[in-house]
Amino acid sequence: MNNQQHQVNQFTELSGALTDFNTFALHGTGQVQNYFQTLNDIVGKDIVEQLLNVFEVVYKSACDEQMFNTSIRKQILGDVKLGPIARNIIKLWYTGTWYQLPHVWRESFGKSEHDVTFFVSSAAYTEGLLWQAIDANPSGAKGPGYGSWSDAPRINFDNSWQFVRQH
Amino acid sequence: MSERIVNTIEDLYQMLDAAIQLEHATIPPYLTALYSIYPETNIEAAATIRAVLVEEMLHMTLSANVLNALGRHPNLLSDGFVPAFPTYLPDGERDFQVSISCFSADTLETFLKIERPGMLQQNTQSGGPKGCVTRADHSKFNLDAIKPLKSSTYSFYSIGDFYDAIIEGIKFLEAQANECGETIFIGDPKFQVSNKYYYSGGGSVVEVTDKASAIRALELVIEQGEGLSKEIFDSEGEISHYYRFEQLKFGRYYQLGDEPGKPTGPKFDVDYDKVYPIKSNPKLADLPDNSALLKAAQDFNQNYRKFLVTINAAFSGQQNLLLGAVCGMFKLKEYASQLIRNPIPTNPQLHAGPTFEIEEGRVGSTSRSQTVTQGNHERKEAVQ
Repeated sequence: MNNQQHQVNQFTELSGALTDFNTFALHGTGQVQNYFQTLNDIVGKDIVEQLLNVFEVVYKSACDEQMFNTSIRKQILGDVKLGPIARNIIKLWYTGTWYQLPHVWRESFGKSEHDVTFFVSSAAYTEGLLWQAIDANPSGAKGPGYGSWSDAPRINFDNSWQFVRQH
Repeated sequence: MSERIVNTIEDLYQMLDAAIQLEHATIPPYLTALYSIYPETNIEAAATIRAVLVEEMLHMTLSANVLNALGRHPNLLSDGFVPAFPTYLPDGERDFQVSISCFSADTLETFLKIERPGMLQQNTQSGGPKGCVTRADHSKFNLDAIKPLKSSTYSFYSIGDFYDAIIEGIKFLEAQANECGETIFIGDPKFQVSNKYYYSGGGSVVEVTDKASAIRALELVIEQGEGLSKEIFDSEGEISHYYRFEQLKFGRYYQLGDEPGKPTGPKFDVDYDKVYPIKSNPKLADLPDNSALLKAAQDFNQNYRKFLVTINAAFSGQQNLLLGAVCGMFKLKEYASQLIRNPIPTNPQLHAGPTFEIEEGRVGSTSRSQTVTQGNHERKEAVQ
């Protein structure tokens, strides 16, 4: 496996831990490569590499899910540099939108001209995880069939992410 | 030896059973190729496959209407109704098999063979039934449509030839019945699927009550598939499946007045790289044990089977179920797309896909079509 492929796999695992959707569901949106590329384009490959390295260490050293959750909160979500990016990754997966990073982050870690709020693609909008989470169709896309609104949504956690002890 | 292939009403039932199986057998390959195309790419190819796909669904419904008009319900739940892919087509075309694959140049060649124009107006082999070719290795087909043939050495060259034989059989059997003051169209019209229930997919449904409407329904199938007159465009200006697919091969649209093989309309691009590389004819056994991917593939097959149960009930008197089945079709699209976008973990160069292995837990009798009174247990299952 080359480094790029390894990074994409790590990015998919990190996305799973952050969104609570498993690798199958994330690949199922067809957006893994697009989002990985978007992230690299905007924050740069050095910061992406740092984020994924921290995630790998956190995952490998965790003895159980509770320890993993605590570590990811402290070392990623609570980190001044990595936290805003992690929150952006969550929003990206759920809505298909890249949100401009906070002003403070941009002042400290660099302003990319690409860092504006935008839909990654029209497919990204329709593939947002929020629609799966609430079992609804994206407004204006993916017609669900006449009368489908009379059926109760089937909320489920069939594709939730699973912590697997690495050592 | 008689040139006519359909000589008894039982022959006709078997041919129509095979027709319904045939129309359905094209759906998994078309559907998989369509969903393998990256979103927002290959717009013309996707639109073409989609247009053909929905017309195959119409054709299945039209054949079911003809069978119901003869007093028999189709049985979509009989053993082997969904073929194991790769498969020969149920009309016995012998020179190619149909696979579940991604959209590619090879896949397009297969699609062209599926929809190829018939032989009736060309030279058929001497001595055999019309529209048939000779073959020696008959046993490997083991498919329904073969049975009406008195000879074990002939099969149809094209789907159009196959339907022509059905039409000829209907004319012959109805004339025979009329001589005795009877008709073969003894089915209750209440079983017909009408446009009230069939939601604008690929054209209008023909309700079948007599010989004229039966022929109209079957000619619509032939016309949409390969064209009736070997012209590129029909009288309504619609282009047949065969020439639609040829446009993709040439990357160019036909326009009125064009010769076959020489389209002169606007050009467009077909990009075979903008496609998920599905493992051809994927099977559940290709997917890792206990994986989310395996579970999703099993779930797809289960949902597809439920969908067939619903359609079966709709063809047996519960037409209103078709309206709700549309929602089920959209769900199936989502489930299939998810599978197709996932690399197989043990072989990441290839992607998964719907396997259409739905043998387990099958219900229904082993016979194909059923007389009207035998359809009840399917109906109960559908409404539960």
